[in-house]
Amino acid sequence: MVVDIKQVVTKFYDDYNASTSKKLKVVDTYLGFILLTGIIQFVYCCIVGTFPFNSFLSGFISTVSCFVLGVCLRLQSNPENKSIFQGISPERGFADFIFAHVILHLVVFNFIG
Amino acid sequence: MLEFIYEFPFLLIDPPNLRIRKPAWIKTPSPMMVFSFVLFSYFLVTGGIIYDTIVEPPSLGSTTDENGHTRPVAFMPYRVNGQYIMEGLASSFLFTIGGIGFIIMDLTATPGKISLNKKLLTFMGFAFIIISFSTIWLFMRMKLPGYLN
Amino acid sequence: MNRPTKLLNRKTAGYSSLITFAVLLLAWLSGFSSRLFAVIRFESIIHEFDPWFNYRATAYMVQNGFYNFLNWFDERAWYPLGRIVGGTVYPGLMITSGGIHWILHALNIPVHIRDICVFLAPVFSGLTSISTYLLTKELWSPGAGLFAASFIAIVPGYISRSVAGSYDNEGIAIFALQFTYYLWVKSVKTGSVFWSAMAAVFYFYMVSAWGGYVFIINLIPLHVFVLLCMGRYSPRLLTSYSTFYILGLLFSMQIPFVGFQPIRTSEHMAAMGVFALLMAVAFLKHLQTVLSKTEFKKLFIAGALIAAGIVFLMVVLATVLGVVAPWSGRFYSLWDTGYAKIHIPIIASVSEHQPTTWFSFFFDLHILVCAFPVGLWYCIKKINDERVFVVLYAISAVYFAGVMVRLMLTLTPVVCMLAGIAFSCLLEVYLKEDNTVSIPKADETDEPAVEKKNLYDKAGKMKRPRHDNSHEANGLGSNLKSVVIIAILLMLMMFAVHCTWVTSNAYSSPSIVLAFHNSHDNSRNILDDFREAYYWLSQNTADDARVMSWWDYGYQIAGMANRTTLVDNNTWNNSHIALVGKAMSSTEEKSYEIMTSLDVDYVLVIFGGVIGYSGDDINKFLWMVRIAEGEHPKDIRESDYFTDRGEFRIDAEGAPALLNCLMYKLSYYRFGELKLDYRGPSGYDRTRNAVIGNKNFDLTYLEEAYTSEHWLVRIYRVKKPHEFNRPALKKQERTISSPSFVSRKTIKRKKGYIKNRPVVVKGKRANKK
Repeated sequence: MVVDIKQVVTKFYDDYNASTSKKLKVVDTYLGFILLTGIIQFVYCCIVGTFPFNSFLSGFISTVSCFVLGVCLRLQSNPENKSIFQGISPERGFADFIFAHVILHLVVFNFIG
Repeated sequence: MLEFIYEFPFLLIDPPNLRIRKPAWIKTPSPMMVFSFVLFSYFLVTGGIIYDTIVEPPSLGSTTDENGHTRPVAFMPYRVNGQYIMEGLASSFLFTIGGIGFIIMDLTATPGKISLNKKLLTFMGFAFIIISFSTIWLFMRMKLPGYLN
Repeated sequence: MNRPTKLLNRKTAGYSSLITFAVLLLAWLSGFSSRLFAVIRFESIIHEFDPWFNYRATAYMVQNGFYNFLNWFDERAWYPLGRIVGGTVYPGLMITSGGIHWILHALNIPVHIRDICVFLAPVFSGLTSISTYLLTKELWSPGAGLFAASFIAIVPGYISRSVAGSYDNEGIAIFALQFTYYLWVKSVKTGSVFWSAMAAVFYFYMVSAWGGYVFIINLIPLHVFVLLCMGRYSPRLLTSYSTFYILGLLFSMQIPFVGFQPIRTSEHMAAMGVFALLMAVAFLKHLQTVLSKTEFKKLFIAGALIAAGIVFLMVVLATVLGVVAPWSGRFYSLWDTGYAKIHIPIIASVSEHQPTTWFSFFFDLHILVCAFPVGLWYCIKKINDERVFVVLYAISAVYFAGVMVRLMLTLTPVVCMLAGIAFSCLLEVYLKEDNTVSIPKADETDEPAVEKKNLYDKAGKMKRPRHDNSHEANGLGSNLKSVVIIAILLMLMMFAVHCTWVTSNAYSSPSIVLAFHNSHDNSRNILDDFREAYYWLSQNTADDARVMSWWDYGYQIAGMANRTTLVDNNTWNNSHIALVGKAMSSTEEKSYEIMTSLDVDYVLVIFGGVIGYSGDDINKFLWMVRIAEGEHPKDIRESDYFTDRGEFRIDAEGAPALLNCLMYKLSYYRFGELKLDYRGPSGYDRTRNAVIGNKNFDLTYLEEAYTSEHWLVRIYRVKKPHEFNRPALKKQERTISSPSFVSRKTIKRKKGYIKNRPVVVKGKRANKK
């Protein structure tokens, strides 16, 4: 059983290494980092508590939205999805990403208190 | 370890030997099914069915004329926020008829119909619209005697 | 060959954009001008009740700045509690008009803030029609969009909330609603993060403007959910919804009044659940592409179902455990329609919260009510992602409009859109020339343009050009076609006439100033009693005087007379209102106790019996009793105020509890002496067509302070305890001292006195007489 899973994982890893472009790998690393941040925040709030609730919320939501936006960027810049996102080039996707981040963080600054 | 987790539930329950299949009658309803359902609920809502259930008005009103005879009145005059059940249903029926008239008019555009049929359809749709429109207008005059004066 | 067509294309493109521009401009202008009836007939004033508060808050903000406004504690409302205005108001409206005021003043255009407030809603109606055009264009075609824009510009269902002077949240909120939906549809279509971020920004504007934002945050997840159920998932949906939701969630929490509700109340939970579900689906889909196994489909469905189930269970559990607040009463009453009637009389008492009758549908929408299912039919027939949205919008809006008259407002835009689609398709069928293959697009945009001008001309001359055109062009069946077209045009003309009539007759009354038609000399009379009385209050009472009135008039008293009120239209504290209701419906004696405990100085009642004004306090009285009964069931019982036969009458046969309650006495004080007609009896109430039952009575604890010219507003002063003679007690009611009491004035200690007896004063010699 364990060997089975190991096999699948190694296959998956090899596939990923072979078929994913470098840009996407960067995005994936970013996503992994954000995910880690989010988990740390969550664990922290479980241990310490959510006392300034708006600060916790703004922090946590900003990580979630960074993750979401990162996923969107990844989807849009993936060459396989080109037919789905017609008219959105990777550059356009990146510009949108920046725009969303700007308004997101303006609000987060306001909310963090 | 993993094996145990997999097997653990089955120590507690004994799975019955059957295959759950999607029953045949569940499928995406056809567009026209959806539409007729929506149209029917539209008919009910515009007829004030919610008003009827909350306020519980009589189905027909009645007045007493100067001779002391009571006679039924279909419309609750001057009261824009009140209605009898029948008047609501009658007018929402006319709304729906008008809508169906429009749809029939559109159906004439589908290709492959003979000319007579087309004309007949157009006429029918047209008649529906005109009838519903003028009758509602009459209703409005009964409800609000000063309407469009 | 290529070049001329290109040229032609460019030319037609130019024409169609010109026509689009012209139509939208005309729609704006006509929508604006048809909302001006009230200003022309009366003057540029704020209407009704809630707008007075909005106006007062806006004026405060303009005077004291935004931050002071956010921290404003209004001690003049809800005496003695006060009200935290900044945290209990949707500030979008005030910020919008304050912003316009600021810009105009920066440009050295000195406009009074009142005029901005009065004209804000008509101006925004133009923006609404533009955003409706954009939305319909995304859903169907530009031609349908033009139709929809011109419909929404003049449809009474929207005008009712946006005439000049009705300075209320809905005026700007419908624009925000439509524009958010436009951006949402656009983002679903393209999958662009930019559009969905913009949708979130406008959603933020909507949240800041109106409590109806809950409609958006439930409709959009519903759309996503239905798309998922229909198997229409695409990565576009993921990008647009997840961006919109997470940004919108964060933005909506910036409004102090909304606060943490988006993560705590059930109204917002559906959106969160759909977000999680969508994430789960996307994750599974992704795994599917990576692992590429055919069996994955089953796992996918199972996984999605399990995820949905878990989310649902979590929400239910959280609600039960109290982490998530259950549905608030206002929203709950939308589902269980009888709920408000039984449990929340204060919501049911407002006439615009009544369920809708057929009449309102036709009155507010006219021909569109017939065309609406047709548009729906087209959308269902040729369904795609965004048309699913409009279908859901239509169905939910119809249901809500049926529950509450007030929510006709959310139905109106979607009806206009669908009717626009219907008319555009119909004209396309009947205007299409049989032989020539013309460029359909230009044709399509052309028609509504001609159409439009017809709509606003209102004169008979409009039909000619269209008639000629179709007559000469068509071959077979052209007669039939032109008849149909003329009929449709006539119908649209009727629509325009209806809209104008309804607007001018039903929706253009400020309700501060009343107008009535005198049948004797055919003149129009203006009753300005409200402002007269409020002005009296502001001039003749102490600055900190507390005025008790029914809650309807709280905002007006605060806005016009600038006096402290006990309750007002922001009905946040039911028990306080019930206390006022109890004071109004108890006897004078008992209510005096309540009034002294609340430090009331003046009592204001609205009385329409002299002129036959039906919206007065006696007609609202039963609601006061009901609301009071809800909180004080021991003291007030609704059945006491009805006669034995269950009638509510104010004449001699009326229930004694009614004839002796404070409201009755204040309304009819001295009315019994008044003879309105030569022939008629004295004390004849014109509103209820009866002679009052309790004519000659005096007030002990209050005195009449002011009565306006037509007796519409009556103000009484509450006497201080030392000012009145205690009322003589009847013999039976006197407490007689018990016989066991032994007087201490025994023989020895008896000390009487004799009149005119010389008094001995020590140290002085007694006067000799």
